[in-house]
Amino acid sequence: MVLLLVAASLGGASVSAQSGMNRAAIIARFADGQNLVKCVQFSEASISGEELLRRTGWTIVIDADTDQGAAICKVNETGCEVDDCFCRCRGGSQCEYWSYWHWIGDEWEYSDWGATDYDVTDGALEGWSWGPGNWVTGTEPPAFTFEQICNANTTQQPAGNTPEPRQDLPPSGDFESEELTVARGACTVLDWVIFDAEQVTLDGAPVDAQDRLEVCPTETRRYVLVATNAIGQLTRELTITVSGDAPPASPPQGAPTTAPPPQPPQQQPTLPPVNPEGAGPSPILPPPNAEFTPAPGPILDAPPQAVEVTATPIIRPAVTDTPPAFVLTLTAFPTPVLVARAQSDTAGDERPSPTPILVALAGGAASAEQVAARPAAAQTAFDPALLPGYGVFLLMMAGLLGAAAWVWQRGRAR
Amino acid sequence: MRDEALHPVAWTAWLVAAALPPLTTRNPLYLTLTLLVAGINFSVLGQGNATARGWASLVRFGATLWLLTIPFTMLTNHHGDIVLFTLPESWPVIGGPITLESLLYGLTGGLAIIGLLLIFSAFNLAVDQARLLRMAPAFAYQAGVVTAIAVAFVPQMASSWQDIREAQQVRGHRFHGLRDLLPLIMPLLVTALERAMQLAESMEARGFGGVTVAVSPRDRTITQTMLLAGLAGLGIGLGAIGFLPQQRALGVALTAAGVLLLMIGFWQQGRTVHRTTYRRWVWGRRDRMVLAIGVTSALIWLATWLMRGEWLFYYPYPPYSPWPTFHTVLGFAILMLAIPALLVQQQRQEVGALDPS
Repeated sequence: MVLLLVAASLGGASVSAQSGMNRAAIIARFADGQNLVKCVQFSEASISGEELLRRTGWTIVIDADTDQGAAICKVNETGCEVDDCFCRCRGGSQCEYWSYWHWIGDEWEYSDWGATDYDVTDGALEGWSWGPGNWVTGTEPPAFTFEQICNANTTQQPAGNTPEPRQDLPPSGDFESEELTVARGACTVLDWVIFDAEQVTLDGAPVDAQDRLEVCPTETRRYVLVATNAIGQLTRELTITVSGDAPPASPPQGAPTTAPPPQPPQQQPTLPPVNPEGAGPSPILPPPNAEFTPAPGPILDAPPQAVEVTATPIIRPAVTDTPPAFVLTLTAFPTPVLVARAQSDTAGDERPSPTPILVALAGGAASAEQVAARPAAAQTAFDPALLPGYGVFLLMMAGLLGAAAWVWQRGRAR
Repeated sequence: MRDEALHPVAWTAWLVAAALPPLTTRNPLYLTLTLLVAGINFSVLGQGNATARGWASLVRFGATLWLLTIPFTMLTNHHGDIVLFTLPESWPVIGGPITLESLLYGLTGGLAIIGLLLIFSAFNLAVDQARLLRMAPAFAYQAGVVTAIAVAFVPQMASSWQDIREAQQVRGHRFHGLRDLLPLIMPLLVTALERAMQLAESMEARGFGGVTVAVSPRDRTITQTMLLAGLAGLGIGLGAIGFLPQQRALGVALTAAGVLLLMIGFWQQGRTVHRTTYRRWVWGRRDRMVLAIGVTSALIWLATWLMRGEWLFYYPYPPYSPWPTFHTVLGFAILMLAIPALLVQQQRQEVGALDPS
């Protein structure tokens, strides 16, 4: 009963869009063999392949003005500009572009449709690949299955298809959270995937290389994930901001609708917090609204921008969809409170993964091409710096209209 | 001959400068300015010009097409973030969000086309076909004559269509259906044929096609071989640049050799055509001003295009901004193209003052 209430508090934010939630998996393979994968949820019966790509939250450049529908020019920083969408296709038999693939049966099939015209339904696996190809085929994305991407909370690594851990590269991977800002007393789920690591720690405690963890911070705090192997170390940080004004009536603990219920204190925490003595604010408290802070420690080959955080709202599963999660509250440590969601056997395989996860696979370190300063997504807002130019434009228009009126008047006079 | 007409070379410079913005950018601000500038020139040049009505109807036709394509673009292109309204997804093709970005895209695409139409119409009003023909290089003389006749065909047809329709209306002809087209089309065909016969006779009488310089068969063969080899070199060179990126040097060399051979061949061929001219071209103050304006504007625009290409870039769909940028320099480059219209107007007044009739 108590657990159900907790689940209600978790799913309460978006109870409306629950039934008939569909999911599709998508892979983008980059030139250096690195891959981005994502599980996208949608409430429609089907969405177009292009819409699926848009909902990943990656930076997509689309040429909307081709005869065959939209063409994908660029994903994140790989590809061409929109005014020359197939800039690597200059005649000849070989060229590079973003080719479109469907996982059908047990293999990738080069799409016969444009992304605008193809309907993606529940359980589909779609691929985009930048690599050498021609107009009949392209570079196949790596073999994957839908379950590997969308059910990533099964703690096993995607078996078989992932390359063996490599000993010649520093660890790589990603660390993200469902929400970066939570109301006080509300919870969010951190999830991470790390490759090639010998040891992975979260705030100092050893954890699995791929896992999820539910946290209910009572104040803004930072989570630090450190992965090490013989070559180097990868540090990823995530700051969860607690919006102070959220439910004002509810104390940090005790209110059954928002706060996790107390549990017997003899339960040992699976993860000790970083600052057990910290009754006060965390010493590494970042400024409010800061989503990321650069890792202070040595970062090998993995700029902090590589941590991708989706801005799309994440719809969490319904109360009834979620098997009761095992929740324990650490009353011994007043702040921050970590709530570990146990990976029970029943929950592991059946619970849908509500988080669009991002995996960087194939052992490659994040390439500079991919992570270098991404342009800000769709700048639809008006930039005040344009105003003087618009003023000059209006003056010029007025001058021209005056000239036109003069010409017209003279013409009539003749 | 219109005495007030400015020099064709000056107008050609103006044409190049004015056509550059619509050809190189989609930015609606520059395109709007260009459209206005072309419109002013067009209205000044069209005053008292018989063919102006034909050109105006062509521009109107273009504008109608433009207005028709905007809703088409909006309904079929569902990209963009700023959604104006949404049609049900179940409607085929047109269902989905209708965005401001697609509206902007449709508007800017049409603006460029209308601008080009207006610019070329104004140029045609400003420059006489015969004068333009004199600018053609010697080797292209015959081809130039044929092209000039072909280019003049559409406006002539349009104006004689207007004449015939008016004449038939005066006779009480009313247009109700397709069958009523016959009294309009028959005279049009007859007039066109008559005009063609007349033209052929007058060209014959002026010795068109006659060769004044005797060419030995050997020389002619050499010239033709040179032209063939030049064309082959050009084709193979361009193909090599496109298809064999690693053989770039070879491709460039072949292209250059082909162009060189072609130029020599054309020059050889041009030597066989001798032409004399009766009227002299006069370079006046205004001609020099129009030429300077055209060259300056074109240079500013070309330099921007080559060195600051991003100033001209405009694409409303995300991830780019739907707000166009505006640079004062480029604005002035377009603005100065309106000056020729004012010069022409001024010149007309002076001519009118001298000759009040």
